[in-house]
Amino acid sequence: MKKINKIKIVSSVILALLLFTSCIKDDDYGTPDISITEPNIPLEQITTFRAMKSLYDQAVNDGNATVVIDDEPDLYIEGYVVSSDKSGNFFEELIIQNKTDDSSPDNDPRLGFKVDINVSSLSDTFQFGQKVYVKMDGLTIGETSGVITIGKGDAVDVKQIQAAEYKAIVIRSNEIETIIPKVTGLADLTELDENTLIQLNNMQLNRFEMGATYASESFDEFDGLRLLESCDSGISMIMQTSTFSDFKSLVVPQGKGNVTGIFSRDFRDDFNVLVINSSADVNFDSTERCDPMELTCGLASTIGSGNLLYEDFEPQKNNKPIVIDGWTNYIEAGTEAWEGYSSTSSNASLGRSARFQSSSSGDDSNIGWLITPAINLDAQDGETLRFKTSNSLSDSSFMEVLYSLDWDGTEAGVTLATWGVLSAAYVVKDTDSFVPWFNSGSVDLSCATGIMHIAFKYTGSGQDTFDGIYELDEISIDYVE
Amino acid sequence: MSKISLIFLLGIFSMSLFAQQTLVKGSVKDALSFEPVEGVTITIEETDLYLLTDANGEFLFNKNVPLGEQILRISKTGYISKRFPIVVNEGKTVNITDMTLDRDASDAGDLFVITLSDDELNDDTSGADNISGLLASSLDVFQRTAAFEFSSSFFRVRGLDSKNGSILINGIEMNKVYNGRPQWSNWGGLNDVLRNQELTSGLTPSNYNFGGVLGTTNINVRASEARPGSRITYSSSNRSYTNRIMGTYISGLLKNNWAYMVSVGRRWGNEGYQDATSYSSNSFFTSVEKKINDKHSLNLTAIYTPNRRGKSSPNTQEIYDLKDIKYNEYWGWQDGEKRNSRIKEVNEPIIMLNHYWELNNKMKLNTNVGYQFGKLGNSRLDYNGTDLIDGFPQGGGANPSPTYYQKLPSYAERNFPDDLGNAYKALKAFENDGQIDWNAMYRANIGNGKNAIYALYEDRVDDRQITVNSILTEEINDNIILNAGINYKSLKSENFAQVIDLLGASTYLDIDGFATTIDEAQNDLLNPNRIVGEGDKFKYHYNIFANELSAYAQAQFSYKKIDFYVSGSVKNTTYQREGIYQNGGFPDSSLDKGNELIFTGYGAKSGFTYKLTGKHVFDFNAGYILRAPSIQNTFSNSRENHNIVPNVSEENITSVDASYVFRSPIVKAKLTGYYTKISDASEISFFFADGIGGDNTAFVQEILQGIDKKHFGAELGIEAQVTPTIKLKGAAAVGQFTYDNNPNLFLSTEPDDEAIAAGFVDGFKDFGQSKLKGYKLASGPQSAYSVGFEYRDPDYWWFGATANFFANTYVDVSPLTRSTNFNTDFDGNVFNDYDEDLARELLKQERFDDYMSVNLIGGKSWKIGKYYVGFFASINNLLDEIYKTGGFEQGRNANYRELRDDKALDTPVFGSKYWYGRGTTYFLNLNVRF
Repeated sequence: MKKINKIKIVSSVILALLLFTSCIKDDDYGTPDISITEPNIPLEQITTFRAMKSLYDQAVNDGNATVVIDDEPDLYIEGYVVSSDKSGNFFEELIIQNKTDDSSPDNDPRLGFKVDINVSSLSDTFQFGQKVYVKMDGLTIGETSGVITIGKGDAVDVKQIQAAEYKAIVIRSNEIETIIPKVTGLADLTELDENTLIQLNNMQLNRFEMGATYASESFDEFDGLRLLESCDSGISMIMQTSTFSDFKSLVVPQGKGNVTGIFSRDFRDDFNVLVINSSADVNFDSTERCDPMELTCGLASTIGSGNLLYEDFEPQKNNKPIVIDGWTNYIEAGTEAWEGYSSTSSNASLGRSARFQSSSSGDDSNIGWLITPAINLDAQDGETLRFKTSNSLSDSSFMEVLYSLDWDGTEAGVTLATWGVLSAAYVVKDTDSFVPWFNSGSVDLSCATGIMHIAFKYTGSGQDTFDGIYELDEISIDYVE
Repeated sequence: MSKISLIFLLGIFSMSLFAQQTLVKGSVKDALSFEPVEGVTITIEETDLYLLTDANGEFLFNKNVPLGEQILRISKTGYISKRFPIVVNEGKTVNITDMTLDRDASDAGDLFVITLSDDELNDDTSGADNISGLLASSLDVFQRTAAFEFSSSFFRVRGLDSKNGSILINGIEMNKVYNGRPQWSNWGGLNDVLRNQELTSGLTPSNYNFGGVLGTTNINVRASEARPGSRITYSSSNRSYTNRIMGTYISGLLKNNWAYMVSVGRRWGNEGYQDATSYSSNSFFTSVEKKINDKHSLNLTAIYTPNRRGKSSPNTQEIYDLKDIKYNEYWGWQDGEKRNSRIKEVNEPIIMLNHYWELNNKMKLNTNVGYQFGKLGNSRLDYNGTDLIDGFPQGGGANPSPTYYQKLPSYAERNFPDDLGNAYKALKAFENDGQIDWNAMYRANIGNGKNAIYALYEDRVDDRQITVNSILTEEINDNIILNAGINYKSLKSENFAQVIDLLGASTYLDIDGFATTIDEAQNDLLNPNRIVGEGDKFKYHYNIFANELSAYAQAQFSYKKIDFYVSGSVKNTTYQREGIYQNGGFPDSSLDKGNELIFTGYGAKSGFTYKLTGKHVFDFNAGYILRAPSIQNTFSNSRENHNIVPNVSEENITSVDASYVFRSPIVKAKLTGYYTKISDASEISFFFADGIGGDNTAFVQEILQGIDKKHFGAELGIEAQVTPTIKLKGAAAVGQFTYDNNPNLFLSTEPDDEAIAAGFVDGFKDFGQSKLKGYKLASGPQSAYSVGFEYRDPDYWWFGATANFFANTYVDVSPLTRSTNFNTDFDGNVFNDYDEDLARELLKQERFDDYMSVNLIGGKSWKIGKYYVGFFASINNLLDEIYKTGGFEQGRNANYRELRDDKALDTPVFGSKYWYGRGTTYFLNLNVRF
């Protein structure tokens, strides 16, 4: 009995003590309340994107690189996040635009800014479509990589907003809107579309990009640059993908369709690019492509000693349309044509050369054809084509080298004829330096038969996003005697 | 004093007039219960004669008994020692029956084991693992000092970690096969029933097993051998837990030949000394013994001590300077509560059945079967959750650690040296917050609307282990004892990660987001692109099978002037990995069973004790052990594949020690010199390394193979009972523990593009030798000293104070920066700006500041009716000294240029991470016995 009593004492004391013990909570947590207090910003403190951009434009006109917004009074802009770094294609930046769709009223036109923030995984905090207020006082507006950027900084540079302060500068609203991208054609894009979400329809990746990944080819440094082209206009633009993106090693889609992304400039501000938020923004679901007919004889290993045609444009006059017997210089659109030019600057011509320049044309579209006389491929063997090209900042405008076996020789018949691409010919690229001249290589024509015309076609416009210059010289067609 | 001696002087000895032999005999009883006390050490002072009382509390000296006036000393841990003057006449018998021993009401032996053994002792992340806390039951003053005074400074006896000592419960080894170390939490909070400990230190022979070079501790939980009684204890502290209650009932051997022990306890606290270190532990123990007859006895024991606690982080000096030594980066606020992301849970019940068989009065056979099962979990945050878009994982979050280097002022300072405003902002932000932002993770997951980006998960080890052994003890004659044992252990260890909380999301894509191809990204090719939810296993899943079969035999000889022993053992160990997942990075070497690895170990040791006189004793031991590497140090990347450490082999340990013992009635002292060499060891450390191939955080395994280590030094313990109430004590440990060669270094990681770019082949890279020879081992303070006193008032109150000095504590050096990787450029040539002198300066091992801690302890006990009430309080680190107990270099600055540039800053971005000791802490204890 004595033993039993002891057990009773021990257990009752333990129980009594345990009753007082609080439970230690180290698991089983519920979801906390994560709603945001809706910021209450007086309307009079909210200004427009245009007002901010004008301040910057003024500063540039005054010869300054940036504008620093005054510390007083409190000043906000209201916009929507259209970028996401979730897939790693944006890094330490937010792209915000002022509209949820393509509306662009005159008093508050559609515009976008880049906000530079030294924080990764911003998409944890700022979702796509989330309405935000940017407290502008004390911030700096300038340009980084060719687009307008908001950050900290001074009269010279825009610098990153730091992790310790960004939450007080970019203020979230609970509102998350559906963003309808601006559906547009490549030729219609202007500087005002930079930092905004656009959608391009009926697009495909250039046939030479087939099989490539978004950004993990051996030559991809920092970014993978892939050529997107429009099946409607044939115009192309670079799709830029970071080599740090999660989808860098995915193979680009092979079909055609629409693509949505941020319209921007490349890192060095040399050309336009489209930056997608994730590979899901490329919807090339149609398996049909719109590739041109191609002549696929490849490059010739030898060049014959006979010559059918040689043109170095020496007799031409500067800034006058090229006029050569048997050649056709046809303006399909706009007011500009292939013209003679010479220069001894760093951007030198080869004596006199031919060039196409659409800048300052004021035209919505410039398309020009320079077409050779007829070449009878049945009269000899081993025909090859050689020529040289150079550019002067091609700005997304492009030049193609085409052939036709059915053109009737009239200007009216140009667009009716079937034109194929001499795909073996190297034509200077948008991304090439403007200084050197590039050899086309010896393009083998001998696998074709019949009467062939070869055309040098330029496509561009008077818009400064699309107004490049191409130069052409030393066209030679040879054959084996 | 006078009370005690007088009673016995007057009382109780009589002489037998008829005996021919000169004998001294008697018995000892508990002063309170009058039950016989077994295991009391009876010493005739000034001689080398001593023995232990038997189960009836009786003893008998029948040889070489000195004549004339002698002093008999009786002592046992937990009791107050007594001395009795006797007069021995030739041919006569001195018979002193029923001497009584009073309980040492202070029970100080309790204190430190409680607070250490399941707290600091068990910090597997810090590597601060030592056995010193367990030495509390030792009679040796040095070992007791190591336990009471040194262990909170992560002092390691002889610089060796706990895998060099065996912990047994009822003869069953408790060291984990995984790393050879005991998992202290498995019996935490059961102090009342774990008092009965038998300790052999160093190479001294144990009656239970061959042991390691740090000896063997056998905890005897046989119900019939525990001291009967009941006890209730309440404690309060600000160290690891804040409250503890324990209750214990021990029946003793009842008349029906049954014996029972029951103990329950709970330790808990929302926060220990470090921020948000929650503690929640329950302890249940029961042991039942049935004495079947005089020859057979059966004992069944069950131990269940589930334990959950919040861990605390090591931090860089920059962080300690901005916060304080209580700062812990692992927690953040959630709904007004501190939520710790790193919870360690140990829940591994033990059941054992022991059979005791007295074959005859000279021979005993003890057979034990033990089974242990359950789980061990360590939680952490994952921030690489992705969604499958176009068949590829896209997403991932930012490192949620508030001390991620990019969030700290040093990083802003390094990157914006001309704009220190940024560093100031970062400083303010860290000072004002600096904790995990749980809400942000919930928001990101909920905002993403698909799979979780952030997830809380647990690395789990679910072991099932059975141990069977038999231990034979035979007294051949009065001089020779034979021990032999055979032991079989079989372990199935299931390892996996498990989702605990998806933080607002409901799914997680079980894929490695850093891989280059979708196949490589698979954690399990058998279930590609698997979506998991809370409670599901993910990331990795495999079993390790281990079997150990060992036998040992030893003979102990004791003679008048000399005792000696020889001991030998053999052990066969096999390991095998079985992959349950087929890892995408290693499709051919991850699934199903890998090769079986076989290791053969053996050990041999011998030693002698030479008793020059009772005052002067010399002791010498030498041993050689060849042992299998632990599982941890065998498989190089067991989460993903079957690979093993290249050239992995058994480790060699050679150890010798020599002691001189001085014993006088007033002074006891022991001086020991030792030398231990470990060679051919391998070590694998796992960590998330930044900057190995880009900015990504990669989970890497750092493999050091062929390591030689040298440990030598001296230990001194001395105590002097200067008056009956005052005892002075001192201890010193002076050692030098170093790497003794340049081991081979390999790194292993995921075989992705970044690893390939960084020169890894199949996720593996050979870094050649790491020039570690001569670097100090990070094994706590290599020198420690203690001086102190105890005052015990006859009126049952007492206090003591000690001052402890610690020196020569070193940072754990990074092997990677001591490899050729340090000075070679990408093309294999030495950096063109490499400066030998500067490099030497950069690679100099950091030695921490020496420090002193002062500890106080005091208590009082009362007897109220049948109840004994004891109270004591202790204060550790009274002067609130701030000191580093350990630390390690971060692996990120892997080469000369990076390290140079980083160290050039006032506060390096990737400085070493440190553990700091606690400031002033207290412990209060109240117990009632009846």
